[in-house]
Amino acid sequence: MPHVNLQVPAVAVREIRLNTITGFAGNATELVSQSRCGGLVDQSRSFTQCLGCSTSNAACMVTLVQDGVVISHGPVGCSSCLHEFAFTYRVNAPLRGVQNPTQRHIYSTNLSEDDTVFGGNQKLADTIREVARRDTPQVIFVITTCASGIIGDDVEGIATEAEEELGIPVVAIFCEGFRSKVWTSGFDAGYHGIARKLVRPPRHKRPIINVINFWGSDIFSRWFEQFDASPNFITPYATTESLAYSSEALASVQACTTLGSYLSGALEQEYGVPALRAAPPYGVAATDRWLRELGTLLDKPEAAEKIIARDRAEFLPRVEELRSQLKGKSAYVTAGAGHGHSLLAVLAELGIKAQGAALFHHDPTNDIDSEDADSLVAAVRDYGDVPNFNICNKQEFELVNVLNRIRPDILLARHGGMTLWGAKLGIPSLLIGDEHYGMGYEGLVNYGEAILEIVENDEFVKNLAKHSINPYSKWWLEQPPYTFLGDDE
Amino acid sequence: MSKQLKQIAIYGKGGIGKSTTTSNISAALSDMGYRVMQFGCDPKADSTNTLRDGTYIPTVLDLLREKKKVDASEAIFTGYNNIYCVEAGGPAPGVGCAGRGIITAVQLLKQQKVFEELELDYVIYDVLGDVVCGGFAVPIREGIAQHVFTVTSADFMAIYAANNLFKGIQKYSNAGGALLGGVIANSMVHPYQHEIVDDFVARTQTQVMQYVPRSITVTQSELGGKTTIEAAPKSTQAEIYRELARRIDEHDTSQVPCPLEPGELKDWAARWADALVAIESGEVRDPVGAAI
Repeated sequence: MPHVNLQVPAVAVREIRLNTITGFAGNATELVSQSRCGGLVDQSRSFTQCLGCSTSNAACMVTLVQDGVVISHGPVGCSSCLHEFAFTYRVNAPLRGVQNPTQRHIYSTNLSEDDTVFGGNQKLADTIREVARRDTPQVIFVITTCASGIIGDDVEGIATEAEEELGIPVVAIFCEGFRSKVWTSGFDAGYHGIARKLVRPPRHKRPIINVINFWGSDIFSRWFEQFDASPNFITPYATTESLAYSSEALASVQACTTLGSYLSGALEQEYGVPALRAAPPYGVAATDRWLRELGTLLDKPEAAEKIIARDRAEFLPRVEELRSQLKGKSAYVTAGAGHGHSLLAVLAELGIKAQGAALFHHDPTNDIDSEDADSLVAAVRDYGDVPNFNICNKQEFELVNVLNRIRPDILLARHGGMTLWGAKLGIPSLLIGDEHYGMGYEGLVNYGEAILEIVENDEFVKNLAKHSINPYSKWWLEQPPYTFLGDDE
Repeated sequence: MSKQLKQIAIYGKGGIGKSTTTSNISAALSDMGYRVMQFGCDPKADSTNTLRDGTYIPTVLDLLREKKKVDASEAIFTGYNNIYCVEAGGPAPGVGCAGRGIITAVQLLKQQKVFEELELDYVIYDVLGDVVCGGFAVPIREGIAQHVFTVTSADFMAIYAANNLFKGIQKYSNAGGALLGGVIANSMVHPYQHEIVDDFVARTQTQVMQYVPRSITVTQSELGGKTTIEAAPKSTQAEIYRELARRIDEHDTSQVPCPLEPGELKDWAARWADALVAIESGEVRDPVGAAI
């Protein structure tokens, strides 16, 4: 596994590790054919709107660990958005059977002018001890920021020293925003810290399967019980203990290849936990492949066939009905890389024409070096090309321009704040934050019914459009959508 | 069989002869059959010049400025006796952040597992001296270098810089950082200069690795773009560098130094200043170090 190097404290950013890009306009087939052959060029923008930050993505992965606390080592503004993960933790807890989601504890060392001059080492060391005293956590995660990165504070050394003194893991996570335009590098930073400092060697194998995911509903237990196993969810709602012994799992799967392949790659490399090399189970073809690959990996191929037969019988008739009801509809997708590909598969399976997509980055490869695990490759192979394929790190000005031209029947979004652009244009828009909602045969029914409902009930958005003022000028909406892309001037 | 990589950092005040000393150590170690990389951590980016006939090489940060993605192998050049030469580089004087430059450059090479792939025996970091900020401390922490040697003359400003470095080492010593191997006494001309350095190392509980006299051979070699080891291998000076390299090669246990506090350093320097006046005026005293 050439991409995972746990010897160094800071993970290499995606631009370096995976040749990840954030600027592209074309179609999906072009994107696939240019990847893995050195043909992919990251196009820069001469104008961009604001981007996400790696520190936030790292915080996302570690804030949701049940018995941990997070310290942001930086100016207090760097943690001003982190409370949203406390919200995420609370509202999604019922999906995982966490009855009493405890309050998330997120601290900042509040680096000031003085600290950037004299160094923040002592402040961090003191904060770690104070946090340990107040909260008695099982693990302390320290996430870095631009300020602490630039002044070169010794975060790794301080964390290691505190760890020895406090007797709990203190995980330094290097996720300075300036290091990468690809904010998912922050996920990798979180996983890198977890793999280095939290995961312990296995005591013995256990019938668990690691599921590297966000906070979606538990669709996996129903599948895994057929393999006599249960899911070990990583990292949301995991505990220090469950993360530590993820090394004992029979296999690792990921809800999203772009999210999970770094940690599944690390677990495979360090502890021999095999990573499933199949695109996540969205759409019939990918679901069947995924279950069969898992069956092969666990040496239980008959269990996979049993699930496929059962789910086909249970859900396919309804999928057929939905296909006929949705016939002729069109959609546009905006989401993160991996999940966006999966939504395209779901749409195609339901017979909805995907008129385009705006996805936030593209990894031409992944950390388990598997083309079979590449969800865009799978979607294109299974269902063919997708036009108007745009890689944009949430450049909303491009999205609005494209939507205004294409005018799909529905906009599908995975991230809060994106659907409003469809709604303002009178396009019915569906936001589904639960990544697992579209998985498997059941997911096709879920999505099909949700889409049908939204498309049929469009009065609200039509009225909203009549009364909305589009913040973008008429001039911009008349320009080609990628006017500012690919021009280095 | 995987090799045991020995990583060494050489610090010292600017202009003290750090790069000259480092390049001669690299050259001598390579002559002993070791696979050596010299990694210049100074924005001036001239650490490895004498290993490459006086020429400059593109730095890691030059490459980073030119393109978004740097393949570390593009920043590695070979010099005398196939020594791998790397320069971190950095911003122009007066702009940007040279310390962050060192962090970025060192991380880039470490993340790409360059040292392992080249099967190196030695990586020698040649670092600009005063450890003025967190970035310049990178080679001595996070388990990068195991041993630090500091180059100093008997000049007080050089000794102040060495003492500052000792503070840095002391700070990181209990967090798995590098420890002090010893002092390389450079530009030694007068006996009292030996005494000053000897006295300083005694007080800070370290040792002198080698006394390197000021030498015209070194200057001649450098003007010709070469190390003394390459240009004048049979010279006495070359043998002094070879002996230094052998001692570094045999050295395996470094220590936490005991830097002098600012007040102590000031008093110490003042007493030496007084003693030096006495030496100049021909006054006969007991051995100086013992008297102070």
